[in-house]
Amino acid sequence: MTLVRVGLTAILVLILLPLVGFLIFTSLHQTQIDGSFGPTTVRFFAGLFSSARFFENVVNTLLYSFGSALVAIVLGTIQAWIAERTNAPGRSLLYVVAILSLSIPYVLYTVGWLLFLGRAGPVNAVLQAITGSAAPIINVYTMSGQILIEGLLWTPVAFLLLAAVFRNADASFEEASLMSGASVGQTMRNISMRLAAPAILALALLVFIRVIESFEVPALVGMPGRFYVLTTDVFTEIFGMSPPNYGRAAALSVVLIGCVAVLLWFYSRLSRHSYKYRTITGKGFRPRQVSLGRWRLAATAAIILNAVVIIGIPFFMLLWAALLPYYQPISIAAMSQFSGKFFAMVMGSSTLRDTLLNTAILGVGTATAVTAMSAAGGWFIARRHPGAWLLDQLASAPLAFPAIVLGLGFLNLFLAAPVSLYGTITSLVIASAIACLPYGIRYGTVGVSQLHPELEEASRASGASEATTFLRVVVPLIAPSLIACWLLVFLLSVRAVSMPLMLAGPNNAVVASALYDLWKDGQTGELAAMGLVWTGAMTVVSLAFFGLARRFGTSLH
Amino acid sequence: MLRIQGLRREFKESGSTITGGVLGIDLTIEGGEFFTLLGPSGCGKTTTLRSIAGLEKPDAGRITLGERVLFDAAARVDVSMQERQIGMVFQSYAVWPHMTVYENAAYPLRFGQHSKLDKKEVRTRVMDVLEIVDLASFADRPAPKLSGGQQQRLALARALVHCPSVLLLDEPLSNLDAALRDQMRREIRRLQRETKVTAIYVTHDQAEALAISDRIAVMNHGLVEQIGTSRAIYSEPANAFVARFIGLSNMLTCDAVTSASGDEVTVKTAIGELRGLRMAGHDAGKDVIIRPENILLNPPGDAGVINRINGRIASVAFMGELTEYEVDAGQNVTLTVRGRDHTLTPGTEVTLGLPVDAVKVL
Repeated sequence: MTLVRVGLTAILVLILLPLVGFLIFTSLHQTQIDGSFGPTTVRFFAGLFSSARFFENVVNTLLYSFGSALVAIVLGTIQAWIAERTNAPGRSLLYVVAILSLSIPYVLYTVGWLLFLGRAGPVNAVLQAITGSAAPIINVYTMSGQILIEGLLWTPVAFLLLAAVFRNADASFEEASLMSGASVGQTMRNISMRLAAPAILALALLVFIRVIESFEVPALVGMPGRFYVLTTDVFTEIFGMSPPNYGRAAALSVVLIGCVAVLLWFYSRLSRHSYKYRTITGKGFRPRQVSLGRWRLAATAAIILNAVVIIGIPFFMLLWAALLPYYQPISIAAMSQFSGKFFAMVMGSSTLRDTLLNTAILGVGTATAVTAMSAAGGWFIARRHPGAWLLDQLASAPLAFPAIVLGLGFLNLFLAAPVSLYGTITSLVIASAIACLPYGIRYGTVGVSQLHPELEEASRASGASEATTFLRVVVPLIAPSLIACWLLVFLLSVRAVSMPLMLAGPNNAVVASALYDLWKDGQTGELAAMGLVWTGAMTVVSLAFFGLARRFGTSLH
Repeated sequence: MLRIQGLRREFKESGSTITGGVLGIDLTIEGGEFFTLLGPSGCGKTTTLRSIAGLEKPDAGRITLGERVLFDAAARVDVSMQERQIGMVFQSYAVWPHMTVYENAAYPLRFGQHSKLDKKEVRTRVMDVLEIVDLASFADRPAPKLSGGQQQRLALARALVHCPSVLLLDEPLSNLDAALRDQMRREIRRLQRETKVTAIYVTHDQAEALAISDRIAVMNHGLVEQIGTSRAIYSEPANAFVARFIGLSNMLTCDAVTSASGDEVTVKTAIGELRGLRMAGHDAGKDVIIRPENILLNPPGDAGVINRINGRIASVAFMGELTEYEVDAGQNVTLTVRGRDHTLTPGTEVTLGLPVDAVKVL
């Protein structure tokens, strides 16, 4: 196992060090047309800090991230409270919706909302009918539209994380308050929310960071609307310029990583602090349910509204687009033209079959690699083997890289690598595995730390080697965590588009990047059909993940 | 014979204050002996046991098993734990929940570094050992389906299946309820006698230690306070700590030895002069120890008891066979007395008789 430990650490060092080194190097040198580098220069950084566009983008990024995090946390907190602490009928629907939303690719979800709120969408149609205006009333390609869509995209995740907070809160604090004569409302204000506040704040910061790193919604909403955030700026410097402006993109990336790293440091401090208030008693622990009385129906209405907004609207719009031979506004008349043309086309296409196969390889390959690394790495870290600290830092380091930046780093790395990996599906698997490792490794460490160390010591005392102990005792006992880890990483790796876009080549198209290209080309019908078919398949994976996570109580972040 | 020399393993908390561990101990444990490490939590008993097992790496010292050196800090010898061939029973039992009873017990034979048995021999050995602990009929049952006592027996079977020369037991009874604890204690002792394995037993429960052990090492703050048989430790405690830790004792400070003839001395205490016996190795005389069950309640005048003290019963606790009285002996001294006289009530004036051999002067 010593060999495995050293090997794992070495692999991570060998990937991450050149990656960061290359980014910094590129940001400090002019990249020539032939790929060689000019003399050292700080002009890219100087250029950044003296350009109005950069500061405009920074302001955009902050506004967008703050707005989206606010939407997600407010909606998520209300839902989590209803789901965990009230007796509202139908509250388990919140979980079903949240889990189903995990299987929808970001691009597809965004497209669903763009169809709903866009120029030819039903919202504008209704508003136009009311006002009698000939032009569309609302424009979705704005900052508000971007904040709304990204906020809704994060709501299910915020809900799942917050539900865990409410679920684990010890009811005896609230009971003590009620015993002292305080009302339910006073107890909510003075005890429940106060106790949850540090955790809610920490999670708000986490969502804020994740939104800063996001790419899909800004690419599909902001870029057509001609306003940019830092991630789309990086993307544009590479793919919107000829020749690509590697220097500026790298300088931007370095700034982004720096900011995110600082924010993550704050987050880790905040979240450590927030757990101090969480006393979880083992015996007879049950959270208290608040009886809502007359408000129960209002809560149920909110639950149903949530299902309609999170799943119903995008799904309906996509189905509408998929069933019509060309896109038309919603009307009864159009329904006579319904056909299965796009579904047939999608099912019969050999390109699509390759894309599906690639995506399956990407998902399975990434999930398997990350799970293997997380099982061994989690064990080394949780049991404080020599070098555990370093391994922990290395495995969580990719958290500080927005996917688009990680993609840029890997692009540089693969172009310079002696082995030709550029444009292959293998390159995507490697990059995705590094990107997903921070999430996977947590399943490993949490899984192992829930095991009593004596279970392993008993094996060692029986005369078994470290490797035997790991394979025969540790792995079988943390298997539920590892399966949940595999499923989650599978979903994460096939959902995002930034990495596949940055590393795209002729032979590694995956579903997410195919959907993006179809949207760029205006092939809405094909996009919708393909996205729906894929989402259907992913639903099975996400339900399996949910079942396991629920059963074994592994948390989601 | 297991020999521990100069064993040190310090735990330091951020800085240099020593927060626990073992601060240099020497022990010699004979083959086939049932040896107990007894002490309050944090005294270093578990650290000692884990050092023998190889789960803990000592800072200094030497551990030998017969001729074999298991650990020697000076010579940089540290035999890995899978090579030590010891058996260990853990406080949590550590019975693997993903295996059956048979698989649990067979593990050391199937995956241990030394055992090279074929399947048939493994089966015979495992079934033999399951027979000894009375679990043979449960062989195919999933381990989590066993009761606490059965899991304990399975842990014992697993520790003994590869015939180790030393069996280590880390507070194995602490998770069982009182009735089961007594039964398992006898069971462990019986198994140890049958297998003639050298057993090293860690506990903080002095009654358990007295009942089960051939010899006991009483530990405190990382050091050994006294080593001896159960009887010796109980009746001749080496110091105040041991006296207080083993059994219930009345402790009085005494001023000085006023006169001495042989081992018999007279000391001055808060409740007057007492005639007692000086314990071996103690000249000065600082503490007086009197066990509650050795104090006589209202002894007849002709009983020849020299030390007589008058007091008043402060409280009564009926304990079944005996009744425990708290007796106010004046001068802010309260003596605990246990006797078979169950009739006395609070407020009653009593005379306490302290036989000379019951008054132990340290």
